[in-house]
Amino acid sequence: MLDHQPWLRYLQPVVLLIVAILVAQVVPSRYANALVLFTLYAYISICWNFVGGLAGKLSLAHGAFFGLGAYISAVLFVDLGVPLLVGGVIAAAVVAIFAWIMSAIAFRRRIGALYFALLTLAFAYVLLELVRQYEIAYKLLGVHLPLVDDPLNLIFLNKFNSFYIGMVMVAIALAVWIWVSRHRFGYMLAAIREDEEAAKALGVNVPSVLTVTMVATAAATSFAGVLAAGYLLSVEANFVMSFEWMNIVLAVTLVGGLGRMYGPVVGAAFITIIGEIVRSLPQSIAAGGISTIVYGALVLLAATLLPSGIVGIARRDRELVVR
Amino acid sequence: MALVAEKVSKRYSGLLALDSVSLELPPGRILALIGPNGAGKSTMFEVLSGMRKADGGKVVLDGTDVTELPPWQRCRLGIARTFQVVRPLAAMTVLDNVKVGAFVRHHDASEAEAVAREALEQVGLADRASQLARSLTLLQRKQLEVARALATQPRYLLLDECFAGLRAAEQDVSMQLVRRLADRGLGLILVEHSMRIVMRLAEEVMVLHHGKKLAQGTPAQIAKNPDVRAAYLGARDVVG
Ligand SMILES: Nc1ncnc2c1ncn2[C@@H]1O[C@H](COP(=O)(O)OP(=O)(O)O)[C@@H](O)[C@H]1O
Ligand SMILES: [Mg+2]
Repeated sequence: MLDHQPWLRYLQPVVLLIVAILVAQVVPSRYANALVLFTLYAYISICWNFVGGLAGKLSLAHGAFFGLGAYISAVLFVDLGVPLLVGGVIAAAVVAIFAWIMSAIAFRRRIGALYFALLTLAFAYVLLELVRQYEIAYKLLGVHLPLVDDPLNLIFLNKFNSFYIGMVMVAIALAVWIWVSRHRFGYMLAAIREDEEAAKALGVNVPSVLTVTMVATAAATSFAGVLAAGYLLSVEANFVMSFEWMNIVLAVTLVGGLGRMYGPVVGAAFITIIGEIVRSLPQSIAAGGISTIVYGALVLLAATLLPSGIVGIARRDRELVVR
Repeated sequence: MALVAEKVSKRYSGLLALDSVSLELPPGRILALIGPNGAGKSTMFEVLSGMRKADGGKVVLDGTDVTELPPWQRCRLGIARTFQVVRPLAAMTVLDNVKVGAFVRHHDASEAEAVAREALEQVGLADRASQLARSLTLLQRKQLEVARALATQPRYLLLDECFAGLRAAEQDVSMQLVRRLADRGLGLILVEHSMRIVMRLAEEVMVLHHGKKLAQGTPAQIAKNPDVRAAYLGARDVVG
């Protein structure tokens, strides 16, 4: 089948992209927001899945990397007129440096799984708080991008265009996933996940492989922030730097399938639909953080009932990611 | 050219597990490392492979001092080891386990797969290739340890009790493999309890006892050595 022509696998993301574009043609415009959210969720979760699913390291900082991408690129655009994409590259560099520092602390010595999670959590909160303080000092009313059709800055009057860009990003991330999981680097990541000591004895430079993965996925995650900045137009710390994004990534990946290629995509679709349903409920019920409760409950359900996520029901992967 | 330990010492909190032990393993040679349980044999592997840092002494690989190098670098320089307490990459297939080893020298995925399949063939696990490693029996896990180490295409191979639990016929197959590897120029250290295997395979035997080198010589010399007999008998007395 497909296995005889490995390059055919790279057609899957392309097909997904085409299908998504076609489907969007018949979706009423009131759902454009949900579609954009779906691509953000899916893309960030795929990035995170390299760390959490392939390497088996619970990073709680990727939500903050997304927020920084949005905030830095928006501020550079509004204050200094730096084109959003250029600002995005600068933001990615800043985020990469943070991820590198975090990796240098975490991976130089052997640190336990719990400490890695706590370290990334602490880093995330420091970053969230830094941006909040900056906002209080300089941007009390948030950062506002002008509402003019400006495709080069990812600002579209037709919100579906943000969805198309997001889907392209998802397709690229999936293609990278296919490549990594078939090549040396992916095997090294999976070996680290299964047994760091055995991996070392098999020639895996554990600290450097993990550092590269953290830095690369952090930078990639920050690009989602750039898309979000152009889409949202009003970039506020309380929203983009909320820990809620991290919660969503965890829910998406666990519900969809940790370490599975399509886990984040399926999980993102699921979580987006749940989000829409919650939002359509009467105000009296929808208020009061009910969506957080729903996400939390889903993660609990997924962890107990579906350890391999929704994707795990459909098929048993024969890839590195078998669980 | 040799894998050399020079006066290596290793301390675990209070306990001196290795006390200034030296050994030299030239390519193509089979050295048996024997001694009662707790003698320090596995600790010697830990130190040679770099999984644990020696507290004293040096490890030299073909003239290069590797004492300060981490295990992954020593693996790339040609030292491979198996773990006495097996460490399968449980959620990966048998083939993928071995591919991780093969990727040390072959960055191309299909090349690595070919090397991995050959290693599986050599240890007799070829028909398990697509099974998950966690579904293997303990014996098969030991074979997997050997296949993974072989796939890194080492110059020196450290085998820690890989024959334990094998039936006589299976032992013979494994012994032929070890012989072939040595003939191809690999240096091998066997940690082994079965004297049948030690006597038939090893050209040289080193006996450890309480972290010290007790004796070294040909299998015949060791078999006659009164100190060695006393050490084993003493150990048995303690048990009994
Ligand atoms: N990780 C460890 N921590 C503390 N003591 C250890 C550790 N590993 C081994 N030892 C002790 O070191 C001594 C040598 O152990 P080992 O090298 O495993 O012996 P062998 O392989 O010859 O049976 C034993 O007394 C053992 O209890
Ligand atoms: Mg031992």
